[in-house]
Amino acid sequence: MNIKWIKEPFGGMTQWVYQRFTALFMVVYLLGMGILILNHPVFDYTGWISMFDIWLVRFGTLIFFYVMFFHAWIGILHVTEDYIKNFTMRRVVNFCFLMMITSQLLILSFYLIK
Amino acid sequence: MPFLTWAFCNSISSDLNFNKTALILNAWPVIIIQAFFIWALIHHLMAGLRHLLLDLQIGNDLIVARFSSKTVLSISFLLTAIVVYWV
Repeated sequence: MNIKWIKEPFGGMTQWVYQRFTALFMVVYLLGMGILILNHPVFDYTGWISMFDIWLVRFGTLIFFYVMFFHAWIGILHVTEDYIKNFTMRRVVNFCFLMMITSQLLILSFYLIK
Repeated sequence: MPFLTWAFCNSISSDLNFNKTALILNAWPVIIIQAFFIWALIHHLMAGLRHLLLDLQIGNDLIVARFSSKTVLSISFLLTAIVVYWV
């Protein structure tokens, strides 16, 4: 049994791969949404809501937020590891960011899943 | 990010909230802040694409790499101007 994998599921190389694939997904999503918004009346509520009535848009947006926060989470881990030398302090900051991310994901899921 | 989440959830929650959110987002001090964050996002996006290409061994020569880094810097400003002007 590979103990190392259990102890450290988000090793450096795994993080690297996750960053790249989430980045690719977000590029595709942003391009798609850019094209959609240019072809969609979004400056009033009915137009804006009708865009999110499209199943794919709603689902894609939800996935986008999950993927984006995951990407951001890995980024934050790297930044705090580089700049905060104190171990306890780093854990506290990381925990604050994690709470912020999870609460926002919960709120967004609540609004996007009907 | 919390502000963006709040704005997005508000805007899809109801008609009244959509108009309130739009009013706040269209105030000029908020637009300046938005422009800054749009620039940050676009710069990150462009630099990320450049790094993806570098990972694929494209543009690893010094001259090409310097050119692409300058292109990223300038293009992100240009795109920001276009996006802010458009919205």
